[in-house]
Amino acid sequence: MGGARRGLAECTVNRAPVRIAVVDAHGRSVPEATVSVVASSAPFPEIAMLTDEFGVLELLLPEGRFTFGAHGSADRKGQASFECDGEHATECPITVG
Amino acid sequence: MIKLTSVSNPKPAAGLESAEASARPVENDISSGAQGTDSDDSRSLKYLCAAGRAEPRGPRAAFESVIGPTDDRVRVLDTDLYPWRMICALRMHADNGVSTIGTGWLVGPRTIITAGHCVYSTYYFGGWASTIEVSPGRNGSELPFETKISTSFSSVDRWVQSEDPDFDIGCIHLAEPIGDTLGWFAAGSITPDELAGYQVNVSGYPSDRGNGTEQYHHRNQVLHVTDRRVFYDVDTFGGQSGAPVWIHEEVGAPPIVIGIHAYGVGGSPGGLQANSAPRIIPEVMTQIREWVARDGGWPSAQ
Repeated sequence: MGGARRGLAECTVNRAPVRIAVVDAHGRSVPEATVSVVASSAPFPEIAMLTDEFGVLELLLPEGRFTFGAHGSADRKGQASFECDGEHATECPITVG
Repeated sequence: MIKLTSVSNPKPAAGLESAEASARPVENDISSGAQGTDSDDSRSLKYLCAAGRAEPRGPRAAFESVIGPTDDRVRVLDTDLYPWRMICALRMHADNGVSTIGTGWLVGPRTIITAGHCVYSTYYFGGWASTIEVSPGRNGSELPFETKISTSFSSVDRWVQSEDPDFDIGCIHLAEPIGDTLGWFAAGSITPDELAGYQVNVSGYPSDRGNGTEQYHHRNQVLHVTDRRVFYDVDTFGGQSGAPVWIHEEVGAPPIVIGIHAYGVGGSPGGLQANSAPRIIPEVMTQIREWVARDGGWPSAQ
């Protein structure tokens, strides 16, 4: 989260760190899964993020409600919604299956 | 008129600085495109792309970037042909370990335009991306053209300072003039009144199909135009950020890019259910010309 903290220090809007962990139906981490915002209460870029070798990615989000979608291999997919208060760290697990 | 100032990442590739040259004089608000050295037209261009104007219609109820009950995106299979090969799958990497997927498009021999957040983002990268892989016309596991890696990027001051969606514009500078072979898009500043009647085309590399390796296209109505943004009823998904939003003035006319796809439905004004792009307005055209000039300019014949 080092880079994310640098970003937090520079930005003018409150943002909180969010940790997204993508796992399969057996609870195993899914590296290289693509994760993107499919719905949000605020403008959000249509970029897609990739999970690391542990199936995790971390980013900073402003206050709002977000739905993230994840896609793993073999067309496995899942999504999860959560509220970010712009201040406190949030965990967002997504199961693809 | 707002003056935009280019801001570049702090470590441009050494070889690129020597490529700087003067651009051709600015004569109007539409740059010239080029088809490259291979003039084969794509059948997909004929069947998929909208030409000319259509009657505007009201917004449909929807929630996600795939607007409405059906996803109307169509995979482009002949990505080695014009104009699809001028659209590039992007993989961005940052020093904080984050990797992301996006889309870019050629606007000059060595110049790729994309969304600002593909090159600079405090959300993802903690600042500038460190390297970007550029794969023109990627088609799943097939790479019809060599993937290039760039470490030289630019955006505009308004994006880098505040990440304002109206100024979400970025540029990737390449060391090699791949556009001489692949061609490049024309870009144009069209007035809001004119733009409101057009159907627009968006083609890029979404992550929900092929993990950002397959190119998908959709065209549909412009729903709303503001001073700086264009909103449209075109299905997209994460990974298509930076994709060209283009029109054809008439059947058979070359594509003219009028916006840079960047945002899904969230945050659209007045509850509008539409995806959106920063428009190519005169200030953006000026900036694009400066970036192309930095990369060596367009050939004088253009």
